Formats: sequence, C-alpha cells, structure tokens
Amino acid sequence: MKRALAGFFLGLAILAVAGPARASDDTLNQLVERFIVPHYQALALTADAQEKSWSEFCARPDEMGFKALQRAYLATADTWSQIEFLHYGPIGEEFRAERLSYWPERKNATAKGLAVLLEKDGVADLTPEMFVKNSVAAQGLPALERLLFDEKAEHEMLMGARRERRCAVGQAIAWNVVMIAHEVRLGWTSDIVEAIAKPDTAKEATSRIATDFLAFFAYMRDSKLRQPLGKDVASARPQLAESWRSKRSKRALQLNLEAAEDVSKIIMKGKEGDTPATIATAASLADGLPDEFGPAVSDAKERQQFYLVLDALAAARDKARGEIPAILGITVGFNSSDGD
Amino acid sequence: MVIDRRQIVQGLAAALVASLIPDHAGAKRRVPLYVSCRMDAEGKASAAMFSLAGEEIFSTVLPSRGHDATLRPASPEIVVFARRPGNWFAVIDAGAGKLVATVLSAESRHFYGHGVFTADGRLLYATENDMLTGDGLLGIYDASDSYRRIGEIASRGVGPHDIAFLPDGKTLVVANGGLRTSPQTGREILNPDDIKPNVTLIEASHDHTLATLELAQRFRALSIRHMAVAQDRTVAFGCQYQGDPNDLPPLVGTVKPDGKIALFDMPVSELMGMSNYVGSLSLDRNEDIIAATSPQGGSVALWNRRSGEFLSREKMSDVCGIAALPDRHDFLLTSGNDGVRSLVEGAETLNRISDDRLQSWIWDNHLLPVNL
Repeated sequence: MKRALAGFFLGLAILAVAGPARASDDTLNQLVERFIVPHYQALALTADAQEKSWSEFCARPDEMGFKALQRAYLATADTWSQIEFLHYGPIGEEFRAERLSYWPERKNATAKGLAVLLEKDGVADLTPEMFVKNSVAAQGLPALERLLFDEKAEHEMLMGARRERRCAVGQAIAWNVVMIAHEVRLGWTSDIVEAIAKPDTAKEATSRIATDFLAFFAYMRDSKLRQPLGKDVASARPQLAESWRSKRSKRALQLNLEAAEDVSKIIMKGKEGDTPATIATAASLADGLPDEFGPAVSDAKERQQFYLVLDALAAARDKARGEIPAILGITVGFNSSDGD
Repeated sequence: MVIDRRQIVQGLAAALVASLIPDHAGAKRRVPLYVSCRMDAEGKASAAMFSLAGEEIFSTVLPSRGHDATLRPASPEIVVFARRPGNWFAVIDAGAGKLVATVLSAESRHFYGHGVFTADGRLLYATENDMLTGDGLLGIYDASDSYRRIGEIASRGVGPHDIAFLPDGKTLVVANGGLRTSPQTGREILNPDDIKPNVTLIEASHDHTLATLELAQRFRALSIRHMAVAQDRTVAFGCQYQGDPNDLPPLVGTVKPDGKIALFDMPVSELMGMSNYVGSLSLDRNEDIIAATSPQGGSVALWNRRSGEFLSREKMSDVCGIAALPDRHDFLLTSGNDGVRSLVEGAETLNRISDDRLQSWIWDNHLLPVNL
C-alpha cells in the first residue's frame, strides 16, 4: 500500500513538473526552479530511502541493517538542513515543519512523546491516519535520531525486549517523514508554481522567502550556537546543540550556510553586492568548529571559534538585510526582529 | 458618475471629524478607521490613518520611528508616541491630517511608547522612565494647554509600557514590564535577573494605589507589556518572556475585576509558534475573544476571554498590529512585510484588505481603531 502511494506521488510530480506555469518574476523563478524544488525533491528521495531501510531492517534486523538505518537518517537530516530555512509554502502549513523536525526540543517533548509511543503494544496505533495524532515532537527526525543514536540504541533495536515495537515505531516515523516530504514537494511543484504566475502572489512569495532567508541568520545564532554556548563556560549546555546525538551539529550548520550562500547567489546574480561573500566567510569559519559541539562549548579556548562564527553570522545578516530587500524590491518587517 | 479618490478621502475625513465629535443628538456616525505608525522602504517614518477600503485618510511624517497612538476623546487629535527610548510624541489633527505639535520629553525622562487620555480629553498620561533612577513614571500633560507637562506620578514599577483607563474613567491601569533599560545602553536589559513585572491600578485623581498585582514567582520573567480592557473591568494582558528560551510559559492572561490573575494555556505545539513573545493584543468588538500577536512567531492566537479556552492560531509573517473589526469576533492585522489582513471568523485564510496601497508599507507594532 505504501509503495503504491509513493508511486502515486511520483506520478503526480511528473505531471506537475511538466506544467508550463512560471512566476512573473525571474528571480523567484530561479529560486523555485533551481533551489526550492530540487531541495524538496532531494528531501523526498532521502526520506523514501530511509523508509525503505526501515522496512528492510524490521523484516530482518541485523547490525548491518542498523548501520544502514543510521546512514539513511543522516542523509535525510542533511537534505532537511539544506532547505530548513524556508517556512513559506506547504512546509509552514499543517505543522509540517514541526512534525518533520521538532527542534529545539522544549519541555522534553520528544523524549516524552517517544516514550508514550514505545510503551504501547501492537501496531494498530501506527497506521498513518492514527500516527499523526501523536505528539508533534515525536513524529519526525529528532525522534528517529533518538531511536538510532541514543546510548543503547543499537542494543535496544537488535536485542531489547521491546525491539519489535521499537522497530514498528521507527518505521511509522519514517513513513510520516515520507508523507510530509512528498506533500511539501507536491505543493511546490503544483499549487505554488501555479499561484506565483500571478504578480501579486509572486511578490508575496518573494517577500516571504526573503524574510525566511533573513530571519534564519538569527535562528542559527540564537538556537544553534548561543543555546549550547550559554553565557559562559559555567552555563554551557552541550545537550542543547542540534543533533548532538548523531554528532552532526557542525554539519547541520555547514549545510545551512551552504544553502544560504546558494540562495544569496541566486538573488544577487548580476547585481552588485557582498552578501554571498560574507556568508562564505561565515561558512569558512564554521568549518573551523569541532564536529561535536559538546565538549568544546565547555572549554574557554575552544569557545573562541564559536564567537567568531557568531560575529560572522551577524555580519552576514546585516549585509543581507542591507542588500537583499532593495534588490528584490520588497519590504522586510522589523517587528519580528526587534520587538517592543 | 465618476468619483475620484480625492473626493472619497475628503468625504471620509469629513465623516471622521463629524464622527469623533458627537452631533447635537449625541449620536456618533461610525466610520471604521485605523491609525498605525509605519516606515517606507527607504526607512522614512510616518503615521497614517486608513479605511477598510484601503483609502489613506492622512499620512504624517514622524521625526523617527513611532510606536503606539491614542485618540483624544471629543477631539480630532491623535497622539503618536516615539518608540522607546523615545524623546517625543506627536499631536496630529486627524481631520486636517496635519501635525499640530511635537512635544519633547522632560529632562532625564524618556517615553516608553504608550499613553492614554482622560475621558474628558484634557489630560494625557504617558509611560516614562526616570533615567537617573530607573523608576517608572507616568508623565501628565495638559492637552488644553498645548500639552504642557504639569506633573508626574510613579508607575509603581520599572519599565512601564502600556497604559489604559478602566471603564470607570477614573482608574488607571499600568503594565509595568519590569525591565530596566537606559538610553545609554539602548534596549539592553539591565536587570535580567531581577525582573518584577506587575499590573497596577491607580486612582488617577488622587495618585492612590488601588492594587498592585504580580504574577506567581515562577512567572516573574514574564514581562507584562500590553493590555486590552473590557467593559466589565477585566484587563487582558500579553507578555514577553525573558527567561530561558527553552521554557514555554503561558503568554496571555487576564486580571479579573476581583484582582485574580488567570494565565491562559494553549497546546505546546501552538505555544511554540508564539516564540515566547506577544507584541500586541486586542479584544474583539463583542469582547468575547482575546487575540494576541507574536511577530517573532509570525502568529496570532485566539482565546475565549471568559473561559480562557484556547481557540486557534493563525500564521502571518511579522504580524504585530491588531485591532477589532466592526463585525463581532473579527480582527484587523498589520505586518512589517505582509501588509494588512483581516482575520474573519469562519474564513479559511487571512485575507488582504483592499488593494496594493496598504501592502507595501512596513507597519509598526500597534494598530489603533478609531470609532468602531
């Protein structure tokens, strides 16, 4: 049944891509065709592969299969990091972004939601229709990360007393990720592409994409760096780093910045400006971060590199805010950034 | 017959003036209009009044970025305050669409962006900061004497922000946000570990404290900033959380007429969408619903005012300004990058009002309804 649905999604996508609708704005066309749609397609492909890995593993669990699950998770998390900045469009509807990647984890919500899921028996509650009624926090990638990278994850999955239920829950989450990824991809390749052929909608879409892009610098600073750093060594909280269990905190940030640079190049193409270069500077400084933020944020010397990245991100944000709205002919609000 | 835009605007302006001042029968004609501060793409600040048809009634250039506006009763005057730490408020004649006066803050004082008139329109109370001590103040201005500053009283807290009168017209209610700031250090919070927000009721004529209401100790980092007052004396308030960003405290509540405080819950997944921050709030025309905006979360959330039941959350990028629409349970919303939209009960989406003219502005934090 699931396979049949996946085939259905693919068929729809091919039909939709074949449509001639184009946005009235060329930069927007470039953003959609060269960045947004390919990245959501990549997300859907890795999500498909991940779901396949879970199906195979649950049918015949072994160590190699578990390693394959971990690799499939990392690949899916990577494709998500590359399009994570965008909230506009179908990802921002029906809690898809939160369901796909509930992070930062507040109130221990993923741990609690996953514990509730793992305690139950059987599989009746894990059909796609039933599964979406569970806690949003336990429906996506952070929950899978716990199943695959927690301290005793491999043992629990291969030899734990509740391994069958654990596998079924993982499979249900992986399928949920597939559903979300395809819904978003289809939304972009059909509904939105058609809508932005109209100038009014195109302007709104451009403005919203740019706003998401500009806001993401603060998100990277505040959530991805400042939270684990804390105010000082004593208040550092390594476990607030993104994806610390799978040791991809740095990689996630690198992919975020790589995506930001690509987006800025599309927007700035043929225009004078330094936004791509300032993002590239931040990216090269991020390359100097340790792979795991954990021990480093508690070390006064190693914190220095984090501060350099924070400063570089602030510079990139300021440069982008100064250049991009004018180039796109849009206004960017300040209520969300300075408040009162 | 062709009616040009100027005629419509002149007609609306005339209706406005007529509607602000009761006619001989005491009846008011209702022309729903709204006032908000805004910026253009070049960063020029102005305040504007517009109709729901998208007509701009007036636009007045401001010295710098404005914040909230308040209407002087029985007068066409509207006062617009500078954003904190601002040192001016502007008096605009809404009928003529002209700046009447710009009043500067007193020595070692600055404004917090909000103020309210007495019911007779004579006195204006403005939330202010004593920059020497950090104490919150209410500056008192005599509108009948060119807005001469005739005195000041304590706000009974630090960082007073929003201010209103209860329906009795005698009791001032002040949201003391609890955050100490100084113009020397901009908007940096100087007392992050010692925040004591409160809602204080003051008998204005005697400078007498009627009640100072504080949140429970565990909610002390909730800076109470904005309010909306119902006719039954219930004060709805919205907060901005200054504690650990991983906490998700409730952000909206009410002070009942008996002084009891209730904080309103919402599902965690919805609360996440508010980003620990309420930028503005409003009651609907029937006062059944409290709606609070979160520009940080790009969300507007609704609760039943009486039961505290969470109703829904809608998304709108950078949304902050909010005011009741003439129809019950409906609201008007403004954003820095998503123009002006309506939140209509039963509608599936937030719809843009009117045409393009209102959409290209960077609308600021607050929206003042005039004569609903």
